[in-house]
Amino acid sequence: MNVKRCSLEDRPESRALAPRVRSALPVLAESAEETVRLTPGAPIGDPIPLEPGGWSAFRDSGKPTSAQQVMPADPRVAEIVLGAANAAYADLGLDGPFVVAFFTAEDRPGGVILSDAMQSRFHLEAFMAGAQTDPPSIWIRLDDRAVTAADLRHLVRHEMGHYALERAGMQPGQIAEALADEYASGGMAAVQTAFGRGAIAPRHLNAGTPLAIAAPSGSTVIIDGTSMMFKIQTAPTYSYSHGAASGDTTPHLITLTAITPGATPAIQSYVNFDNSGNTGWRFPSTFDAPTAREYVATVSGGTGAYLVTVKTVGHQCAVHLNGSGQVELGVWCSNADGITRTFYGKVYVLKEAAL
Amino acid sequence: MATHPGMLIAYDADGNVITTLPYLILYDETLAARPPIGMIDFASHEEVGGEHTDIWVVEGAKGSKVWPEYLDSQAHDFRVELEGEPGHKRIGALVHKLSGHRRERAAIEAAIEAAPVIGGTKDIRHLVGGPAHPLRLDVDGKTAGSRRPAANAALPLVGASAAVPMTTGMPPASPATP
Repeated sequence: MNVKRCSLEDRPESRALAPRVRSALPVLAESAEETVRLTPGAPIGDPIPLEPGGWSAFRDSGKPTSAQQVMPADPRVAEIVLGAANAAYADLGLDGPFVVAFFTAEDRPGGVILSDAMQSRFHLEAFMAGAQTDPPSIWIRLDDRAVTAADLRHLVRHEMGHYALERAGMQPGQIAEALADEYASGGMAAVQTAFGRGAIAPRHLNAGTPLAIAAPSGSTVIIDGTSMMFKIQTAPTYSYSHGAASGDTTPHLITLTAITPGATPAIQSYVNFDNSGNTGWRFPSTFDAPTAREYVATVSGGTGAYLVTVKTVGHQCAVHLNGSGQVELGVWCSNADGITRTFYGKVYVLKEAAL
Repeated sequence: MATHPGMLIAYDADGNVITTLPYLILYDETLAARPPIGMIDFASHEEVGGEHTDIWVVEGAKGSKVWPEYLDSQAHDFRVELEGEPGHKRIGALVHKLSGHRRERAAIEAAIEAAPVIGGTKDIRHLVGGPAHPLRLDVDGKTAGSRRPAANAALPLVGASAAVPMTTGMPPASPATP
């Protein structure tokens, strides 16, 4: 199976979305010849072009009910407006595959979130990371249900988690050797956040993706392809456990008291269910629900025969200044699975520097 | 004094590793160019009685201490065992939560001590790894090698500018290291 990307700019209707939705939406191909595009509410498995009607379907099928979330007149964009509270929540009541693009009130892209029929319900939650003046961040929680053999054909959709995002107006980024090591076994994409400090666009790391190494020191890692370079300032790891289907969204906070940068640094983060530090952190996580690989059986109690990828959690990592000039990392995880899960994540705090 | 900065480990009440901080680079924020000053020496800070809250605060952690090896995320497979008198405790061993394998500080320090001095420095990368280049462990928590090929001679064990000279026994820092 190949995963391909498709730029919305290739489609006439997409131009109306630019620049707010100029992200490269993913297109998944189940074979090298077949291209499958996902449309909300459409049957799974058939090649379906992404049409404006898809976005309309999103609007019609689940308007957020929270007073802190509004749907704009333009049905193609679901805009989240946060009020004074720290969190807003809405059960969108959506079933089936769909594609949603989120943007903050300040017109910053919040990410692209994908789901599929593996989840019976889709929940949207939005949080303010720290002070209200900080850019709102958005994450999702997906309720899962029992995996059946019939679902297996759908599971390839989870490869959508490997899509690339590009911040509007930014050039594709490049991820260098140190990060590539983390992906050595996966060839996954990386997703970034760089609120207010430019951006590092994520790139798919399959063969052919250019990797740039600014210096062989291992501490100089990322070039965004334009004029900025990002160096790793620190690279903490963390683990974070939640009970079964707890949905706990208590943030795990790491405050770097030793450094006092004047601007919020960029971050890049990864998460996994198992602490497979040797084989790489496989999943992008910034605004995308991470996935886990599990073996399932075709019948209850049977031998696990199918390797599937299951979305059961929501995860997000954000970085902000804590009001004292210190960098604070916030990690949110939510377990919607039926068993206790421990998340293992790694965060790269990046500092912008001149080339 | 410590031979190298080491890695910070935060642990919960049961000793489980919950967060690691392999390194932290300090920049000079007073200058427009914000040049890197160097890497914070966690071990030296701990040795002189410095508080780790000067470096980081991890919510939910019972404490944090320095560990001489760079294990990065693999440290989450371990729980810490502390040693020493109250007020001067340090991590004496990491115990693998599944296999029970113990990574003893005393053995690591002895190996560092025994490393030959070549050109005035000791190369201990094969013993402790390095920032962003952790040791590679097997499923039992035993050292299985270095993630990065040893042929990559450009990689420093630790990096620091002249503003923050490193402690004893270190190979010369790469000039490219920020």
